[in-house]
Amino acid sequence: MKKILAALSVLLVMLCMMTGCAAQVAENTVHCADDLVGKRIGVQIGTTGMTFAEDIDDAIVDKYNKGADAVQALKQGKVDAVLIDAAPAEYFVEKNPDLMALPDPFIVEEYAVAIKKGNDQLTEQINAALAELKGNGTLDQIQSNWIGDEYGQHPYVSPEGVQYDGKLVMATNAEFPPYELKESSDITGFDVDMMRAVCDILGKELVIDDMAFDSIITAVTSGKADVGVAGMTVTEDRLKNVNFSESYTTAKQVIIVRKGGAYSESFAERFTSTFLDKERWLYLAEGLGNTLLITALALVIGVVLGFVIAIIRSTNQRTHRFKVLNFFCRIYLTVIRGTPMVVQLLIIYFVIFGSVNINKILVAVIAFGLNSAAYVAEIVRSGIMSVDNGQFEAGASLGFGYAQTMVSIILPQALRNILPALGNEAIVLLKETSVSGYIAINDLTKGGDTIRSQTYEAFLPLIAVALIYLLMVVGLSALVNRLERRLSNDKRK
Amino acid sequence: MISVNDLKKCFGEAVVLDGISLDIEKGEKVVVIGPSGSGKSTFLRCLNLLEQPTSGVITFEGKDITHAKGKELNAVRMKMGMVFQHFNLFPHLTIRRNITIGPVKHKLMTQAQADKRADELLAMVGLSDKAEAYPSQLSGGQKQRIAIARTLAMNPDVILFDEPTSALDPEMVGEVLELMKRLAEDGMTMIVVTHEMGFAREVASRVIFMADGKIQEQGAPEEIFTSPKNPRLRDFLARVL
Repeated sequence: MKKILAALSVLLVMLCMMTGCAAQVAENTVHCADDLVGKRIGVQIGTTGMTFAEDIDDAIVDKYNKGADAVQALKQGKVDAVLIDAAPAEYFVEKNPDLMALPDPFIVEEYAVAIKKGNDQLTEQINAALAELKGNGTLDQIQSNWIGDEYGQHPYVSPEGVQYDGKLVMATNAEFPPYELKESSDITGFDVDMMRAVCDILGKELVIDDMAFDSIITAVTSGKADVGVAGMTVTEDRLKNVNFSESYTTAKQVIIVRKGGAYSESFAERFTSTFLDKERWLYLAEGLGNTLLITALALVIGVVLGFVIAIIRSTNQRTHRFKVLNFFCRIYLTVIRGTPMVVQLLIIYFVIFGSVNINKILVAVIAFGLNSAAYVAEIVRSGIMSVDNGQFEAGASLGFGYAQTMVSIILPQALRNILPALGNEAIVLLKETSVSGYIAINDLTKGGDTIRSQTYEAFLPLIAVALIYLLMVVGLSALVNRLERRLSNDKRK
Repeated sequence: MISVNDLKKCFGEAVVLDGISLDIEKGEKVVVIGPSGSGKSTFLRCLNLLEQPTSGVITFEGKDITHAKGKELNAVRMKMGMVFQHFNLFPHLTIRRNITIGPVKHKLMTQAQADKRADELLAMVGLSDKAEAYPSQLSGGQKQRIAIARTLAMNPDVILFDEPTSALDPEMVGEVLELMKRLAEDGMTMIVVTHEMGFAREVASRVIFMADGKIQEQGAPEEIFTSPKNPRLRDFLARVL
C-alpha cells in the first residue's frame, strides 16, 4: 500500500510540472509552401502527404501513425508544419483554435478504392456503382454531409428493401477524419458512407476492418479485405500491388501551422473532454477488458506450453532422451527470444493467418502465448535444474519412475523456486500486450490513443493509461508475494 | 540374495570398478570400507542401478537385473532401499508425507494406513513429535533417522547405506549408528559403506576392504581388524584407527 501511495505522489508531482510548462512553443516560421525547405514536417505514415514531404529539399520528415499525433506534435512545437489532406486539416483546425491551414493548397490529388490485383470483376462493379452514384447525385450529397458548411445535414441512408447476398470487407484506418473516424465505437466518415452506398448497389453487406494505414494494402493483397478505402491516392508504388477504381473524390494536401497566441484549457475542462465527453472513458474500459483477456489467456498458453518445453529440455539434459524434440524446442526458443514481440505479432497476423478470417483477439492470444512460452520454458527449466540431483535419486530409490519423480517431487520444488520469476514474466506479458494496437486491437494503450486522437490532449489519456497499468502490476506483484509466502511455509524456522 | 559377477564400471577413461564379484545372503550385514576414491559408493549405486554398470551381471532375488528398465527397475528399487549421505529428504513435504509418499504413490497402502505406519516408524526412530515438521526444521541426525524411516516404510528386503554418517556433526553420528544397530539386530539385510570402523567391528557379519576398484580383502570383522593380510589394508587401518 505504501508503494502505491509513493507511486501516486510521484505521478502527481509530474502532473503539476507538466501542466505548468505547456506554454513555451516556438513562433511559426512557415507562411507558404516554399518555406517548408529545410524544416521539420509532421506527416501521417503511408499517406501521400508523406510522399510529398520526402521530396522537399533538406526537410526532416517525422512520420506519425496518426494524423492527430502529427497535429499534436505541431501544437507542442516538435514539428514546424504538418502536411495533410484538406478535409482532415479542416477538421483538425476547427478542433484546435491555436492552429490554421495555409490558404494555398500544397497539391491537389484524387482518391480511389484499392482492390486486389486480378479482381477485375469487382473493379468493374465498383466503377459502375460509382458512376451511378455520381449520376444520381448521391455522392455529392455524401460529400456535403462530411465536408463543408452543411456538415452532418445529409446523412446517408440505405434505400429500403435492399437484399444482401454475402459480405464485402473494407480495410480502413479510422484515424483520418472526415474520411474515416470513430464516433463512440462506430467507424464512420465520408469513405464509409460512400462504400455503404456502393455496397447497397452491389447487394453486399459492408464489413469494416480497422487497421494501421500502412497495413491496408497488405490486407487487400493478402485477401484479408476485399477493398481498401482510406482516403488513398493512386500512386505508382501502390499500383504495383493493387488495382484502383475510378476516383471518387478530389482532395487537396494542405499545410497546417501554428497560429500563435496563447490558448489553454483549464484542468477541469481537459479532464471532462478526455474522460466524460461522449463517454470517452468507455474506450479505456473496453481496452482494459481486452488487455486483461489477452493477458490471461496468453498466460495460460505460455505456462502450459512453457512447462512442456521445460520438461522436454531438462529431461534431455539429464537423461539424453527426446533428442529430436529437444532440437525443435531449441530452435523455437532461439527464434522467439531472438525477434521482437511486435514483429512476431505482425507475422502471425499478416503472414501465418494472412488469408484466414480469424478473430484478432485470438491472434493476439496465440502470439503473446507463444512468445511467453519461450520465456516461461527457460524459467521453469532453470527451476528444474536448480533442484538437487539427490532428489531425483531419492525418488528413484523409492521406486518412482522418472515421470512420477518429476511430478511429485521435482516440479513442486521447482515451482516454489521460480515463482518470483514467473510472476515477473506475467507482469512483462501484461505490459507487452500494449503493442496489440499494431493489429488494430482496442487494448488499453490503443484506448488511450483513440481518446488522444479525438481530444488532441496527450497528457491525461497517457497518464491515465500508465496509471492503470501501474495499478494492475502492483496488484499482480502483491498477489505473487502472497502466493510465494504460502508456498514457502516449509522454509520457516 | 544379491549376487554380483565381474562388475565393471568406467566413467570415460577412468576405471572405477574393476571386476567385483560378491554374493550376499539374506540377513547379512556387509560393511564396505576403503580409502576415498576406491569405488565403494559407486559399487553401492550400481547395485540399485543409480549407476548403469559398464559390464558384469547383478542378480537380485534370483533375477538378472543388470539391464532392468521401467516398471521392472522400479520394482527392484522398491525392494532395495537406500539411505544417502546427504539424506535427500523432500523439503516441500512434511516429515509424515516424506515417510508415506512411497507406499501411498505405489498404492501399497491408503493414506490412512500409511499414516499409521508412519506413526510406528516415527516412534521407532524416536521422532514422534516431528510428524508435522518440515525437513529444514530438523538437525542432521534427525534428518538421517527420518530418511531411514522413509526407506523402511517401503518394507525393503535390503537397505543400502551410502556413508550415512559422513555429513553429520560428530555429536549426531551416535544416534544414527544406534538406529542402524537396532535394524541389524532385527535381522535386516544391510550393505553399509562407511568410515565408522567401530560400527564395522561391532555390527558387520562381513567386512569388505576395497581399493583401486577391486575387493582387496574380505572376512569377519575380527580377521580384518586384528590380522589383516593385505598390505594396503594394513596401511589403511594404520591411518584410520
